[in-house]
Amino acid sequence: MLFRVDPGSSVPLGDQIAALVRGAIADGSVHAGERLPAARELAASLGVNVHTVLRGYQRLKEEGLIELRRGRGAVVTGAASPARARLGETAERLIAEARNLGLSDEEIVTVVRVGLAGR
Amino acid sequence: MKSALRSAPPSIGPLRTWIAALPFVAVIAALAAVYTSVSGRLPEPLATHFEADGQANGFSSTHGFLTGCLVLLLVVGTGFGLLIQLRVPATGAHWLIAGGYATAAGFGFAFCLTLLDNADVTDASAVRLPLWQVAAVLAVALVAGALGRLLAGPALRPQHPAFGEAPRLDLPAGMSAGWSRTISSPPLVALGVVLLGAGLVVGILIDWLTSASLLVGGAVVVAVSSVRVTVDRRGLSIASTLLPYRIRFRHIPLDRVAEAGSRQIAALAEFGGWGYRVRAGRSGLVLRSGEGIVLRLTNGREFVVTVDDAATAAALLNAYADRARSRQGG
Repeated sequence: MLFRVDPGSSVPLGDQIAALVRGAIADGSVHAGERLPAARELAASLGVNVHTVLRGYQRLKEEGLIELRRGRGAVVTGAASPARARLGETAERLIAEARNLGLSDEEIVTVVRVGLAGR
Repeated sequence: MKSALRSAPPSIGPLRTWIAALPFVAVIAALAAVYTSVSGRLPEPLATHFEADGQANGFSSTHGFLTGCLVLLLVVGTGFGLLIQLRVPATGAHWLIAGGYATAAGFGFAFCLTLLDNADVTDASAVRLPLWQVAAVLAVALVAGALGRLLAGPALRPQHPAFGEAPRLDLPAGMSAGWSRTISSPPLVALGVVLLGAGLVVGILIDWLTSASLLVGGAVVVAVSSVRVTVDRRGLSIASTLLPYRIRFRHIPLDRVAEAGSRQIAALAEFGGWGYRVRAGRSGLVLRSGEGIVLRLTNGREFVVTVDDAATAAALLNAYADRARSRQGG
């Protein structure tokens, strides 16, 4: 897959990388079971710090989209469907919109919790 | 546009297949004719194998000998026919035909001579094969090979397929990009595992020195059978997915890339097989037929690697090569 990052952007590089992988899973160009380049490898490719890439991979792991294996890089999990990845994208949009409105992290969580309680 | 990029291997045509089949048919006919002319005068069994000094040391029944000859000619003839049908490799077909002529004539002449040497002999152990006949077989094979080469017609020029589009990926200054993808070939993995297994068995049962070549070969095949192709600001590199990524077995820096493109690659017709292939003017890692990255290098050679999403990789490589050139120019 293609990783294209903009170090000049206000979005942290790690988040950019996470968004790229999420997008690739969402549009079906990356499938479950596919191996992403190891963090060191990707960092060397893009000329960024390895911790930056690891931060991005860690986010994807927490979203359940990838699995990190020591020394074997990152593998897209079986649970990572395009719909699941799109859910992550929707959450990103929600957060971005709330931040634009000046909401704090607590307030954003409250918004989601209130929505869930309404069901 | 994509179909225009698809390479058409040079066609061989049905005529060539007939030309290739001709010597085997002719030799079987000649053998039948010789047998009919001597059939009443043959000993039983026949002397069919000879020592270096011409003395007979192998015998078989006439029936067995003729069946063996026929089966051998048919099997070898079918083998050549299949290779030509599969066009492996397309540009070498005329030499393949010449080889078929030489093989057919050599075997056929040797079989006929064996029958003639046996004629009018009562005891097969008295049959002699004079040395000049061995030389004659070689000479006949050479002449037949030359004839085949003439009949096969002019050599097919290796047709380098159209290079394909060379698009540029949008990569504004300051942005950085990398493309990475794995490709593996299950048949090659299987072959490597079989070689390794055979190496172990030979090592345990016979000796480890003999098995070393099998083990090394198997390890190389396994390493090549699954690779990660990376395109980034440093160029294109290919590394085995089974080894640490720092161990790359091919790296092409940006300044060696004149242009990158992508097209459909036919493994058998263009490269005569799978794996790391080297051909006149081009080389590359061909793990399957289909989409692949094609690099035109600054030394005029072509390097290919078959991989999915090759167009994106080529576009990125072009964008980086442009960037490197403008930096050098400015």
